[in-house]
Amino acid sequence: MLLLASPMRRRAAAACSVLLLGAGAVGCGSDSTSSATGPTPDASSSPTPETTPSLTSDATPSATTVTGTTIDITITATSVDPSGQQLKVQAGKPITLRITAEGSGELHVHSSPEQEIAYPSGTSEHTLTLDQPGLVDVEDHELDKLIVKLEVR
Amino acid sequence: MLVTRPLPGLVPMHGLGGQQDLPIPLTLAVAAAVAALVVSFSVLTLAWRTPRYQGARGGRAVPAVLARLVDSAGFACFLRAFGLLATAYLTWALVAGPDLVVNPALGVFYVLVWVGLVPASLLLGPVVRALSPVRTLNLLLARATGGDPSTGLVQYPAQLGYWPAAVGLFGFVWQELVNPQSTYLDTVRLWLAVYFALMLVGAAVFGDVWLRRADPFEVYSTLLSKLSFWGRDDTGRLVVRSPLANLSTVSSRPGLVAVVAVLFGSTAFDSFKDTLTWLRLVERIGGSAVLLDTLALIAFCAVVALSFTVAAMSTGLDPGAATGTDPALQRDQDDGAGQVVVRRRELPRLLAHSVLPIIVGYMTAHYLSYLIEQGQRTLIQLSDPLVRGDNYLGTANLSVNYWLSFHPTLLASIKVLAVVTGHIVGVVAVHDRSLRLLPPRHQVVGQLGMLVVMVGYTATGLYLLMGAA
Repeated sequence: MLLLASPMRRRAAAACSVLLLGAGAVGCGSDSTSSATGPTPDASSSPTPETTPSLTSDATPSATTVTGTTIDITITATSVDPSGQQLKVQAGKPITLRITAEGSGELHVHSSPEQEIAYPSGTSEHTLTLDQPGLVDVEDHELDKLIVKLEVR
Repeated sequence: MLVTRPLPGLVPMHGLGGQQDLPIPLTLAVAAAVAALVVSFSVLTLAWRTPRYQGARGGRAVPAVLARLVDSAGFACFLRAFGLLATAYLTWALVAGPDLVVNPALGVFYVLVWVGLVPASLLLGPVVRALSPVRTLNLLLARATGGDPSTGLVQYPAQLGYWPAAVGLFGFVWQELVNPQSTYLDTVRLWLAVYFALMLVGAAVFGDVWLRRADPFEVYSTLLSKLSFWGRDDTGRLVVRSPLANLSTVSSRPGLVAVVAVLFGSTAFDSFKDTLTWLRLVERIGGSAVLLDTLALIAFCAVVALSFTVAAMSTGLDPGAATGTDPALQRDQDDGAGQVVVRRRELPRLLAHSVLPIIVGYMTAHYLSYLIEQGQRTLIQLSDPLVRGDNYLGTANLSVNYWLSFHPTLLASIKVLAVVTGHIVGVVAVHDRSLRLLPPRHQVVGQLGMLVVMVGYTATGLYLLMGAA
């Protein structure tokens, strides 16, 4: 094993220099930090309130069927309500999110494509329509918390 | 397509995916589980009693024209050039492109390469070996320094087997599923830099056998290619053979169980980590979600490895077996008909190839819509590597077709069919290999442990596909 052919040594050295180059590329590449998401949200906001039954926040894992859905969401500085609920909604039917928030922020709707809903502090209503069947998580961006998982059928 | 909104920190939790598939219906899942159970015991009791799949000996030679083309230096060169060019294009996007989720480097890394290599290897054989940029770079480095790419400074220790690949695969799935920064370019750059460095230095030290044992992508692809129709016979001739016969040519090296456990365990974890059960548990425990996810990922892989090892070893062997000759050696000399003397601790890796079809079935179910839809999105993004409105490949103005997601019943049926097919192929592979490995009086009872574990894997997979909320 001591008889090392020199071409192999050179190759090892060459491989090491590739390593260094690679490390350099990592170092250089760390200038950008922000990211952006896909297409524009098709969620629209409206200030007028509507009277519709709200989501009962029971802790059962089974999905609750609500038609013509309005989801009441309360967001404080540290918590969201509902939190981690699953909810059945109909594909193509508008969903109203009635958000009561302590401060302004942003919801993230993990549909395909992704959608974002910016909400002001106080109470506001936002309409969301999901056409494609699947599971869609709605999360609060700052708190990093799952509000509801929508089962779109 | 060009979007400048800042991305919330939440998205990385989801990797690149948008919405997830609907859970498969309970009735379909139960039907599939029952089918898996029935097939398992039918194979055990009714199938053939002498081993059929004889390793690398069989196979039908492909037409001479095709063999000449595939084996020609020009074809190999073309594929290497393509692989290197594609790598250069992506490096450009990775280094010069903006840190946005629409940067195609991310989609290529997580979707086209990682998920795409599954269908590519199943259809075309060991594609990564043919395209791998590290292989090409090793070749070029060797040529530039006048060396031989296949020889290194020292001999690769045979007992290491596939262990380095298992570690590399774990590194990838951790990056994909646990790392909260997974969709930021920095972590992908770092991951790839470490990968290239380890592969090239390893290949220089051990020769390119290192890439066959340690490159996570190459090992994964080459193992999956054993479920394709394409193979080589023992003279190196290109042949076509049934995927089941091809599967029996997997080399049962040390670490194969670990590779299989990481692949299967991580995919199951991927389904599990989005369930409300897990999200609520993490919330309740508090503390670092990364730590909990890491522990859960390790636990999933460990459970697969442990259950498989115990099941494979739970069989009677002949008393003389403990003092027998080295089975690996004997198998290489007598690749087939003869009964082989086997040590109990060798059994898990000699049977591990049979989990591959189960993995493929479950991966298909888990990733099908993701590959088709995120794959299309990536192909669209590829035209615009710097995300500034270019259309280099002419795909920038296409839009993603979500047809499959709009047919959830069809999608669910395909998923269940894939899981059941994988299970059947796996059970047949275990049966055939058991006939070769186990002494005749233990051949039926000796398979029971494996059958139970495989039905368990399939049932767990179906349960996770049901949403497991």
